[in-house]
Amino acid sequence: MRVFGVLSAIWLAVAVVQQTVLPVFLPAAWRPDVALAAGLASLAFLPGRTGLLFVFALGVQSDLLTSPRLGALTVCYLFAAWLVRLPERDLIRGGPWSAWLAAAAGTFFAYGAYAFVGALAGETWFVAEGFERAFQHTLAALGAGGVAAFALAELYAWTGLLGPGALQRRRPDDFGRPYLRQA
Amino acid sequence: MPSAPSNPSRLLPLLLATSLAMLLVPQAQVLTLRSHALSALSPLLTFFHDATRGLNAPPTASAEAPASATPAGVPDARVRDLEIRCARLADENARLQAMLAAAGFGQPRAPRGVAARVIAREGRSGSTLWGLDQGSAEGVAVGAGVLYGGMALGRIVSVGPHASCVAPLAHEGLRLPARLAECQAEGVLQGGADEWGRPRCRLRLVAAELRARVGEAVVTTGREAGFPPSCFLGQVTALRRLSEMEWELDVQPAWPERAIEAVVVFRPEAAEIPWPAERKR
Repeated sequence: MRVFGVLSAIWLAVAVVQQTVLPVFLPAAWRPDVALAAGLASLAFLPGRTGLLFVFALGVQSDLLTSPRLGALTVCYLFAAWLVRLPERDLIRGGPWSAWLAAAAGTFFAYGAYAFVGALAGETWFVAEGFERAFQHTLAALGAGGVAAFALAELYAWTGLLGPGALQRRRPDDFGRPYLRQA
Repeated sequence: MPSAPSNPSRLLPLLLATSLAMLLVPQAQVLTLRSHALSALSPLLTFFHDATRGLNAPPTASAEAPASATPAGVPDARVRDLEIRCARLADENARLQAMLAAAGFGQPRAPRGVAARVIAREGRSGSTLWGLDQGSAEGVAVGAGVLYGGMALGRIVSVGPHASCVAPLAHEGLRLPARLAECQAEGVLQGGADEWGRPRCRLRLVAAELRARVGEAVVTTGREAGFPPSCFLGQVTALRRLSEMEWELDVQPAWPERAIEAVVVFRPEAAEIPWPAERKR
């Protein structure tokens, strides 16, 4: 129940930030995909199945609210999650820094895949244009991924949602504070 | 969920299969689902919309502002010309409404439409749909035109109970009958974007000769049921002759995308012509 409550709150917060807050401050070309960044960063902290289900839920949200075809972005999110989870052990050991890197790299993987999937799913761009947008999203994710990684690391530690791998990580973080606050 | 085994190897194919199955959902259903999702999220999005309102609004002209304080790239003379024309039309409008009232046709009516706030505006390039906080329960219908400050902004494409989705003029799927204000040539306006991703529509016309000019206004024809006639759509920025009888004009939409917070959904009323049986004898 606690997992459902916390992840639902993050899911709603992502929708609000993506739909209402970011469009006010950033032009379209510089808007990051906050849902993807949050989902990929969460993979480093949540248990495996929970992380994947959360990425799936965020993908469905993005499809529902932004994509011309339901499922197109979800497939790309899951593809990026699969690629990012391949170096899972290093991802968990690295903590927020590697989660940040995973969010940025995963964004490139996801939107690289979307250049093909989107063209099949109703977008009117060509694949080269899709890759250009993948670079734009990746640059934007460098900022959003960092915020998401450090904020979610603190939130998951505070709410006790960290997975077993993340719980084993005990070294102080790069700001000199103990990364995990719970036993 | 935390007690579930952490091995996602069997879950991933299942989720991928579900996603691929979702691709089979028809696009019309997706739009309806989007409107219902926005309806459910509407209170939350409206709250944050109000919280962030005005944080990034463009500077508005004030009495204290110097006369030369015009937006970059807009010449002062053109702004003055527009101001003079606007004042003249407002005067004429007021005079005609006063004549109508004096002739016994009642008070001038309020604009026909439903006021709505823009609560969502994110989307992939060229296919951005905006979310409004008014839906079928408030009288919004699919196909209705959406106006902003007297300008046409887009069209309602799907409706939920308390939210609706708008395809702005720059949406690649939008087609709208349009007319050049001065030379009166009519054509079809199609949404799109330029190479930088900025909104840029194209107006296609069939004509042997075209006396249009760059800067000419493009307006609605009134043939589209969702829009009032002569509603400003944008300005011509370039002309191209495609063939002997075909022209393509680049049209810059008039509205500032990021500054729009509230719009009016046009609601055409039935003609108020009484049936003969209902006439007073």
